[in-house]
Amino acid sequence: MNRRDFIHTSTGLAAIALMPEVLAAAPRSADPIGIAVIGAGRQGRAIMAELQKLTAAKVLVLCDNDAGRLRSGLGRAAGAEGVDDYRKALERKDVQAVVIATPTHEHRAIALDAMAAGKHVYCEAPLAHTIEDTKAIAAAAAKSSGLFAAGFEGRSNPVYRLARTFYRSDSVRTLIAVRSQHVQKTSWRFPTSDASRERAVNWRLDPEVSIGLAGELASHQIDVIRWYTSLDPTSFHGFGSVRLWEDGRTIADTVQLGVGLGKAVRMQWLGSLATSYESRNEILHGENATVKLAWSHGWMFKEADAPTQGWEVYANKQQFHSDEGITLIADATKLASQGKLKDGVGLPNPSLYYALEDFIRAIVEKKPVGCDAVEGAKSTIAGILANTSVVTGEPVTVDAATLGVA
Amino acid sequence: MIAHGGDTAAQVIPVASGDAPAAALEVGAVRACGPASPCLALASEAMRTRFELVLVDDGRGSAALRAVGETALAEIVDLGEQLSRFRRDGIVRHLERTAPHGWARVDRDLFDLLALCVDVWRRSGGLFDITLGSLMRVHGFHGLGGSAGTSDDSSVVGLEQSDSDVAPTALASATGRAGCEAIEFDPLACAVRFTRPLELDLGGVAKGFALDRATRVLGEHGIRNALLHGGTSSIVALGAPDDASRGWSIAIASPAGHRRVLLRNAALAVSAGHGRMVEGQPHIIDPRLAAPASGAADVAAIHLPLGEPSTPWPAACADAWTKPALLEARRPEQLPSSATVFIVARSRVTVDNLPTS
Repeated sequence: MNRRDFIHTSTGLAAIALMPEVLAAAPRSADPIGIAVIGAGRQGRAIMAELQKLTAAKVLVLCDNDAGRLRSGLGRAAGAEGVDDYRKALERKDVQAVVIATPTHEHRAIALDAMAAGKHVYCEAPLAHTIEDTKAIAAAAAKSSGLFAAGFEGRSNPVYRLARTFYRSDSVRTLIAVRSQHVQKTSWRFPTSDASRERAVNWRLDPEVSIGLAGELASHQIDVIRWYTSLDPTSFHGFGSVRLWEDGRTIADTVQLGVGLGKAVRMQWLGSLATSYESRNEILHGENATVKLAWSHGWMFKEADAPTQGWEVYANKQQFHSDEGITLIADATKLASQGKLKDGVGLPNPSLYYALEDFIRAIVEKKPVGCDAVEGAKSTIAGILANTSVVTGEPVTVDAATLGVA
Repeated sequence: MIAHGGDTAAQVIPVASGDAPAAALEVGAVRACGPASPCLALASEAMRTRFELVLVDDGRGSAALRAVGETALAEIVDLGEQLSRFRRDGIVRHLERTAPHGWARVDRDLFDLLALCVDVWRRSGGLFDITLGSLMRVHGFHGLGGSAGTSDDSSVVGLEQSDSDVAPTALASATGRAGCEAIEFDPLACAVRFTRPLELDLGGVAKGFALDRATRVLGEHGIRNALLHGGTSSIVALGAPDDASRGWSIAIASPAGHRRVLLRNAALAVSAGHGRMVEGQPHIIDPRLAAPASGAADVAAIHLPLGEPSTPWPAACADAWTKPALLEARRPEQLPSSATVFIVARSRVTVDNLPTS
């Protein structure tokens, strides 16, 4: 490296060091936390894969009432016991924490029993399919001796945390509008060789229990926006239809939602199973900059008349047609010191890993969880109300009492 | 025509020169499906490759068939994200970060895949090697950035270094980070560790492994007739497209003309020295040279029947063994006995080292 490069590098390092470091070291424990994972479907298996990376955690039990899924899931946790009834997992004294990854409408019973048994609970989000069940979970969590974490991963996502520091530090300034979407071309239908289990396996398409795309997907993004802006939804107006998967379903495969935030801001949300373009993202348009979040990646697009901060000169940038975005890198300082800043685009682990890491850290180091029961309940209720609007086609006004939890 | 008999044998059929599919591996399956044998075709992108599944409807209906197909495709997509070395959040990069410092737990399937790779490395005398990531990088195979899920990274500015030239020191350093002997296994804990830092590249088996996993999903849901392929170099054929066919008809392109292979309950992998080039160089690293090489053959294809206990991951196994076959233009000595090898070298076609007519 020549002198010019050294000066450029060291100045840049100093500038980059002004960016907050949001990637913390993984928690460590002499005795790994014993975990039971309830639900061995796709999400349950993803959870198992990420828990394997956490040395402070050990999966002791996997539960599923489907033998095939259980067998497949056990391949991801060497030595774990397989059970078909979650109560058997709760009986084990060495199980200190429970991760619930069952269908949404089954969360309440498992969560309440797990908390009554004194276990720490990580419950996938949305927490429940009814407002009543959601509030029951939150009430139980308030009284529980154990920790409760809601699986709204955005709050644990290092890129999202980094972007939030910019959002909250006036880099964005006045919030103008919010757009978000979650699309993926898939039928949302899952196979079963047992006709009697068709309804149980395809609960997402069952209008009796499903909260549709708005409840299952938009709730996650509503939670991110709530966390960023400290604004709660005040209204929902949704429209849904079956655009592609005309297989007899009544659950909409495409949903467009307007969400009132506070008094003057609105979020537009698109959810669809009929297109995959641009996958999942949240975009916060601001007076000085726009922040775009795409799960493993994040960018900040500065307005031409916005003040420039020193570190921005040295930042990674990416061109999107006529817009140039500053790439938000969670471990920029460390990577810059290694001369590997350009290798740092994206997260070192999937977003789910960080949510589980926060949960384990909370148990081991007594730190806060990523998303607690109160916030998780509010975002869940928001998703349920959003779905109500989609199903009825009528606007839904939200008051604090409906959204709040005891 | 060479026929070995049995339900899963590869039958190599000379094709007239005028009948020349453009792709290195033409999937004839879709044409074989028709009103008498309705099929459902699904596709998805993974590992920078288009994967396609063609499922023959066995009467369960398109919605139920699609549900199975989507589940199989999801397996492929998930694996693509996990196994790509261009994904920072994938398991490959995770192992590179953690395995040199201690035992890293992995799931049983990945453990078995890594064990298979080391086994093929050993049996092939090192001609197949998943630890050549560093050599591929210094020879420019990986390009800039390359993180999946982002747009082109060529506009990156900032604190960056470039080490893409192949100076002797870079080559020595890269060579030092290669070698499967550095991978150790703990079967009881289902964990692996590296005795020194390694750069893995599972590109030589990932597509086949993804097809094996997808095949397992199809089998769990009772699908008996289907064709799966990744790009045009890895393929699994289950059953046949209809009752009148003995298998799925696949054409293999080569400088010596095209050969059609009939597949039934088998995996087929193809490697071609005339295929993808990287900056004018062949895309295969010869571990003996620590450098790109075309190999002694133009095309090497390996056929492995499904269901053999000795090859639980037949598509991955076939994928892996095509590289030694291509480099040496002959059937590798330690290749499983159930495999059939098809080689095209200097316009001469051989099957299991025997010339064809």
